[in-house]
Amino acid sequence: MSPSTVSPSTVSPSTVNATRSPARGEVVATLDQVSFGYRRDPVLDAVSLEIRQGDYLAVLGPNGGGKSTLLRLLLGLETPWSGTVKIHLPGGTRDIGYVPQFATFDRRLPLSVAETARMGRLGRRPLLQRFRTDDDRATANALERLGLTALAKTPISELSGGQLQRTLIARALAGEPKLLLLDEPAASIDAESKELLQRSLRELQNQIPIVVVTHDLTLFSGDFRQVACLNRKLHYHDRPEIPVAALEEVYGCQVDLLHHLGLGDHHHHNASPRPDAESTSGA
Amino acid sequence: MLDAFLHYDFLRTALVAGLLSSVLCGVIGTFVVVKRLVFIAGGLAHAAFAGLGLGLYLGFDPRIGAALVAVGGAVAVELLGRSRVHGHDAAIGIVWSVGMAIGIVFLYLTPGYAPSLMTYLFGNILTVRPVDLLILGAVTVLVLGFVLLFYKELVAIAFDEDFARVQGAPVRALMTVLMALVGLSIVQLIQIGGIVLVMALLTVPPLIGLALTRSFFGVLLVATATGAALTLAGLGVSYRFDLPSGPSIVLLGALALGAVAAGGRLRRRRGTLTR
Repeated sequence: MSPSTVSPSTVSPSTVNATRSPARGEVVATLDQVSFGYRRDPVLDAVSLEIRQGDYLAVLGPNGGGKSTLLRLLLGLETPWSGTVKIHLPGGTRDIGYVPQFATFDRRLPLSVAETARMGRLGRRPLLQRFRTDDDRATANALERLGLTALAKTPISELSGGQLQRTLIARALAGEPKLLLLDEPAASIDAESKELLQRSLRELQNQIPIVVVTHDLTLFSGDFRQVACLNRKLHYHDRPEIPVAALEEVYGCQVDLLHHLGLGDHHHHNASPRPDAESTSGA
Repeated sequence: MLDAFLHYDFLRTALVAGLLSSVLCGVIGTFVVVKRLVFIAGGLAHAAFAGLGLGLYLGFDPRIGAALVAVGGAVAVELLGRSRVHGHDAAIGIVWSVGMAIGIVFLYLTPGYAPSLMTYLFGNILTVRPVDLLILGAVTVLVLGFVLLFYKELVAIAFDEDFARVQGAPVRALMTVLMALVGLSIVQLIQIGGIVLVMALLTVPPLIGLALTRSFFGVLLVATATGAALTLAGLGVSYRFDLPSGPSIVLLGALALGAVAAGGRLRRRRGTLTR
């Protein structure tokens, strides 16, 4: 997929979806023909992707398909074998709010919810400086947004899975990011957290571009503006109203998940299959 | 007993050494524990014995040899990739025992009087000289200065290294310095507890701190205080019952840790009963 194939001009104005999402704006991040792997075999093969202002992108795909790796490349945590990754934001990766998967950190550390969320301010406060009151204020705002104000002083070891997940999102938001990347944010969370997560992402989707790597599409049904299937190669769809069966056959995305997204036969807008809407990468 | 501490210079020196090294146990130990470096630290302590032996054999201060190996090894671990080294526990085990073997061979080959192997294996806080105190003090100041200056970054790295890196923190540089300080601390603690006991000195106080407080800074403070209390009590026991100081300190620490763990379990059980 060359960047030009996913430009707004390819979006037909007749779809409901196009009126729902604002015009795709400036590019905030670019992957150009990126290949990468941890061992000999590539996890990602010639993946190209542009993330623009106004995007709300779901990245789907089988386990081991490279979804988390895609985020790690965007975050500069891995260096591509070939191809380039560019972040077009003034602060580079500091301007990215990152919500990792559960397993990547140690929750037994004696930290309160507020202290954990305040780490999102690390990139806003230079070395050798302590956190200040404006860091605390931004942290308090982020906690408020995710309904965590009452839990601010609670040790993270005592949180439920959903509360911990919200704390990690608050940490990402405390840094006032210009791009939000979430890795499986809906994995094993309770109803209250799901609700709060959904609400805050709905608010945010009109403010900053969001990329969600996810299995659980029930949480976001109908909200996404772009969908990408990732299974070593990336298949990008500017409008989600794509033929589901084709997605499954060609790219290995699970169909039941796509049904949750509202992309199946019972799609709520005029969803005649539009195979022309998708473009594939790495050709 | 207090009289003895006031009257004998070597006891006073031992006391100061114990207090200073408790800062290393508490502060460096906490990072060793939360970053899961215990086994790596153990490997470095034992590998350092090669440097000690080489120093004795070639006639330079064996502590310099130990420091070179421990600090060099710690930095090498970081540069090779800590997580990769972590995954190779067999390699750590090999470095561990080969280091010991080299040290013992050099000790054996050293002509004339050589200090006994036991001194290095189990340490002796009572043999600390005033000049050692200076070095120990300098390392303590380095450790405290580093941790206080980069506190917010170090806590973030302890919790979630990837996130800290994304936020632009110089994770590689800070971890390299931290590892070098781990190496330096190990060499200092070898004097107090010996190679075999360093791991207990680095882990018991932080584990007690983690069990007793709910803030990260609190852990550093409680761990340091615990280290100091254990050293004092250990010296007392050692003096009173004529036991070696290092094992006394470590065994008291194990007792204290057991008591704290049992207390925590009891409190939790009571908590569930009243609920």
